[in-house]
Amino acid sequence: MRALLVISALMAAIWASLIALVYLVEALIMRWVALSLLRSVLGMTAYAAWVAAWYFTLMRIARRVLKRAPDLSAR
Amino acid sequence: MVSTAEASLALFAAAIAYLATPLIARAMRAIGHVRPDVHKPGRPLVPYSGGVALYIAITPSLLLLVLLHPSLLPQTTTLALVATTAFLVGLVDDFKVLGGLTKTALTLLAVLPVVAAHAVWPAQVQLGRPLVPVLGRLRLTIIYWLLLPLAVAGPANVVNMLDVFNGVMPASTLLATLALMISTHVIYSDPQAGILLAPLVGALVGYLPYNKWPARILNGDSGSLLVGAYIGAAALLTHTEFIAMIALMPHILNGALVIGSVRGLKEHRAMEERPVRILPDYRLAASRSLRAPISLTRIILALDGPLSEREVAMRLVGLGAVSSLMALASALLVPRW
Repeated sequence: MRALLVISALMAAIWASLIALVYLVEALIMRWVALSLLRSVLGMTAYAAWVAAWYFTLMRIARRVLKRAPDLSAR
Repeated sequence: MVSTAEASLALFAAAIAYLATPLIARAMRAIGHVRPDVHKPGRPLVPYSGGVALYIAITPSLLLLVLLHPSLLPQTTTLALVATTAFLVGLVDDFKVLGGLTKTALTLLAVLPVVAAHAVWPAQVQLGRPLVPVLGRLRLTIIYWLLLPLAVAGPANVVNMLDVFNGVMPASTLLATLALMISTHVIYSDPQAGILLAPLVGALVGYLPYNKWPARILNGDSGSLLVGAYIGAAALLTHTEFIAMIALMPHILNGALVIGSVRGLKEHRAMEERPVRILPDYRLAASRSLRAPISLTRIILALDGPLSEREVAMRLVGLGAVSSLMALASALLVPRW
């Protein structure tokens, strides 16, 4: 059940950070930047940065978990 | 909470799927369209392309929906065309294996009926301004249209990529679809808000008993692409794209991990190494190879393994239940519409 707990915790973190990001983009960029094109560029950059940050975090966590997995061929 | 019309429609689809699936399984076996169930001793040959049964259940249910609610003709037609496109791409792949890139490119076509319906019926098929927690309607203009091609192909392909063990695809997507259906009721005051999802809920309920472990029919890409595309299109039509994305989070995570680790879109048969090893007692263990793809299953096995196929499937469905609950929580956070 460790897998269910670990991955659920990760999913909850992703979910919460996405809601926070959506709120921040709306509160900071959409409200305070007047130029439409600049709003789009900044918004897209923020979402792309969020995707990239989570992607690299997940890959790093996954590689660490796999490295620690028991080597069954030694049994 | 769920209206009588929704329940009746789901029941109708469930009855068709439950009656049609064994007939389709028999027909597929008769024409030799079978695949080995690789995680079982002796690798038994199991009928393939269970998606045909799902399609047979969904299309008459959509027809019944139009008869019950003629005003929903635009949305129903859109869903039927999206489902047909994704189903046909999957069926071709079931019989004649397509490359990973070709299959993904073809699934991109499944969004065209949504765009066409928006052009023909702009008042009934509205696109854009997805509903998000806390804020309500999101102001997305350029980004929305840039991401639109992925709104149907994305769910279709990620559902397809997690269709790896008996029962996982119908069980996890049933939970996601139910979450989406309940979410539409939470967000909108209309008692029929979730009716577009009722045919899929019913079809999956009727089909699941035949695909759960030990499977008597395998879904094939015709099944997984059809179900994923339907969810994506229904989310577009009900403005619940954010909620659908949360409900399908295990599928999305798995897709991102696999695509990232193999550096591109590859058909699973084209991958040199498998993420999972089958032990002599038919339990599954995470691959130790550095070149093997990283998948959600491999991580589960690294943390809890070795496990039986059924134990891995239960964990994947458990993750689907968690993401579906998060989707419902998201819907509760959306300002009432």
